[in-house]
Amino acid sequence: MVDLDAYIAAHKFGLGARYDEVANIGADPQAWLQAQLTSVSSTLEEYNLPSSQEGIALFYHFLETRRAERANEQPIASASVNPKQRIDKFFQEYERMLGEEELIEDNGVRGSSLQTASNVYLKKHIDNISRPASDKTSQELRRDMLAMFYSEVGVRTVHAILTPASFRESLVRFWSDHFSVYSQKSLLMTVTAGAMEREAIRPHVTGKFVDMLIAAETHPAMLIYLDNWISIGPNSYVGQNFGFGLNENLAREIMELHTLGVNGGYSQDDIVGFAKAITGWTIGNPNVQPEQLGNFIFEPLFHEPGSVNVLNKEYLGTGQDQGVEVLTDLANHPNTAAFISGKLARHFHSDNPPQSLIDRLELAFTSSDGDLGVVSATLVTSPEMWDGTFAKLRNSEEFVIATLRAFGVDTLTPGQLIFVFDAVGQVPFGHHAPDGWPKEESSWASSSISSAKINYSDLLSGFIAGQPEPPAMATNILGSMLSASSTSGISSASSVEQGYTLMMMSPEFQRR
Amino acid sequence: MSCSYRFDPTRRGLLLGAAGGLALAGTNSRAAFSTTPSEKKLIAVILHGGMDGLNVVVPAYSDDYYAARATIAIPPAGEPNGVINLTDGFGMHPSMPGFAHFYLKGQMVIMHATSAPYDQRSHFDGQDVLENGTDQPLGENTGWLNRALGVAPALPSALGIGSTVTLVLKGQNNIATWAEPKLTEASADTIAKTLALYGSDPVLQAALQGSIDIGNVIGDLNNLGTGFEFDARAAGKIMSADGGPGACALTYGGWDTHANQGGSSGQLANNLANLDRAMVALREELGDKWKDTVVVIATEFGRTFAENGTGGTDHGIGGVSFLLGGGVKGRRFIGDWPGIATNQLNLGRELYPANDLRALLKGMFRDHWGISKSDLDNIVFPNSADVPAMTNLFR
Repeated sequence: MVDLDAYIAAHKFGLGARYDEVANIGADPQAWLQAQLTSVSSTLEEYNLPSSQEGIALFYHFLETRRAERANEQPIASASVNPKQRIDKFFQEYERMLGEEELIEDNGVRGSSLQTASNVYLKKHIDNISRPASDKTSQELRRDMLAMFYSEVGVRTVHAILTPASFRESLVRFWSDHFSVYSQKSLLMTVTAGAMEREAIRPHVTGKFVDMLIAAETHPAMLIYLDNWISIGPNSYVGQNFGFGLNENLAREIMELHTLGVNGGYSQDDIVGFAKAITGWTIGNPNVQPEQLGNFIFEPLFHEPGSVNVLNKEYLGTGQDQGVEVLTDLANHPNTAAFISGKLARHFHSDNPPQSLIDRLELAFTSSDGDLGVVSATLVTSPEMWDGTFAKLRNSEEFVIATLRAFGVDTLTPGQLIFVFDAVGQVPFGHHAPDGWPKEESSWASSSISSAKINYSDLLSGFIAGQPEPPAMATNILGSMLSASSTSGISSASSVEQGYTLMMMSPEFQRR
Repeated sequence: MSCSYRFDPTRRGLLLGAAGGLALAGTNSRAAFSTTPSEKKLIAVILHGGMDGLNVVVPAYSDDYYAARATIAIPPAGEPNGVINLTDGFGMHPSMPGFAHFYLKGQMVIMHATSAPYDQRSHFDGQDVLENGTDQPLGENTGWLNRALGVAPALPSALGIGSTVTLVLKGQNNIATWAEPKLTEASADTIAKTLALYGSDPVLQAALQGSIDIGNVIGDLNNLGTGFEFDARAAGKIMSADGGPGACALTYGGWDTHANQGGSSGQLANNLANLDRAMVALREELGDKWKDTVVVIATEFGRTFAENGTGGTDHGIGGVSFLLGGGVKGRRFIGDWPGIATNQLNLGRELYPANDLRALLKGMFRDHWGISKSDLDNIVFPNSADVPAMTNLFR
């Protein structure tokens, strides 16, 4: 019998055990976990997915292609070479340039085209993806962009299924959700949301929190999602000459959701000061710094001049540094350490974690200046994590991934995966609000999700061939976690398929 | 929203139920309840995409209307494929005989020229404001219906239809959910054996038992019809069962008719027929509970007054909302009608949003569920003390 700690390592830290994984974790599960923090890269470069910059460029190419196909549509880009006249055009066109309308197709439901997973459709698309973009119709380019999203979901899911370092992958999901963006806000978001995880989250999962924070808040997906790309300082050139003003959205959510936490000691004035500091954080587009198309840019003509006050400190700078300095101070604020520590404990331990665990993580965060490698390592060495309670209900995505890891199924297409995720209520990058997916079990223990999970397990069981009988499989995957009643329930199944379903639906598999 | 009302003198007075438009909230009208509050059913129907209110409740009296919509206008009552006459030159789209019947039978009020407090034209932000109950996008990450559950004296339970719960019903108050199965259903035997695994896990047990119970109430899925009727019928069956939930939210998309929206027939007409059929089905399923039921129907915005170059309409702020139910004091238009002459349109392009949707919702919650003014002003619709609840919505 393998020690219980190996199962804790695989299920409570990681994304669920693969077959025989628990046996291979060996006598020192903590060392197995710590190794994932130091010696593993998970940036997914090997998959060669398009960057957000390429996605944005494709989107604007699509808009221009479609314009050429239509009779009366104005060009998106200004014909002028004068930057100020081009900015005028930017504000005339920014709604079209967001691509919100483009995501609402067919029956007019947002994102329906993402959720109506058709493998034929995707296959057809992939066959034609090698053709140069310049040869394609706008309809084909539109499909390319949807396929980019499918690919992002497919790659991150298959990687999660196959990786031997699933603790690291679980940390990626935690941080990606911490900086949640919504792929279905617009087509521009569809081509950047998945890339943001690879570009801003994965490189910093065991790095400094401040570096991840800056990477996330300057990422095009975030700047578009929370409207900062069109936030204008009232006294900036554009503020003085056009009807646009400050948009506080990103500044507020950074304080409330990404750093200090709600009730984290900031006021509305602090939000306004911070929002002014990050005016000008926008994206190179056909009308604003087009040579930087798709990249984060600082645009001085948008930026509020002068100093700002945030949390009783004056920030003098007038350029991009001003906002970076505020972000840096927010990253190092004690309330940020407390907020993030509580959230980590609730994610990895349970909805109601011991305060001692939160305190331990908080101390690690503050004493290491927000080194997420140190914080993650502290999670590994915290005795509370090894207390043998399995109280945390897996959310729907975690559940699906755990099933596919257990049975080693890595052959589902992106379309099939999205279909399944949709059926169980959690398509990646599909949470509409910036607070990320619900954290508490009440949201995941609903009747409809419970029913969808049984149907899914039943379906998956029908695909499984050549694997050990259910009792042996359950022992291999869940081992000493398994209760006597689940063991006997799985053994009493009337078919092999039903036995697998019961294993996946058992409380020990549902929880971690 | 800054509601500086602009009236069309030729129309005003014909349409206004409450004299002078929105009246101040009265005192607590709890006495209006004739049955125990827990029996009061409330259903929110959220139409995603921006329904073209002017082709649903049609100002068929207006030459301006026919001039602006050369290919998509609905003919006046009495002409082939014309509107179903309601009152004073306004008519219901011919694909909506059920709605017309609700209205003419005195079980529906219509609030035209309405909007949630959002004056831009993004679906994402508009839907968010419509459902979060504040006056700004992302102003709350929970919905007004969910917050209302927690402050209604009867503490009603609620049902979400669909695998993801729409924002209006999201929040801290737990809700039951049911979704049309997207995957083939597991056998009853597998479900029973799974339930047997949950003897010492009451949370998982309750969730699965709930799904079994709802499945039993719904019965054969083939009897639910198709499209939106399917959802509505399912909701009606679940809500009318013994101890069934007191609230439900339904969403229906497909209203973003930028091109080829059609007139008396076509794309929009098909959607309206589906909506009509669904509401009639909902009423059928609720049976004798209909007398204690109220349904509110709203969309994130309306559409431009004039048709565009592709036989459709673009986003425009003022839309139309409906309140219907067995106890609704119907056959009335409520709120103000700003008119549709060129100088009466908002920015010259769309119906002026003269009526804040929150006023209707607040009146509904106060008189149907007995929610206090303070809770409505602060919790259900935060910082909305300046938006008075409508009165006189129920008999």
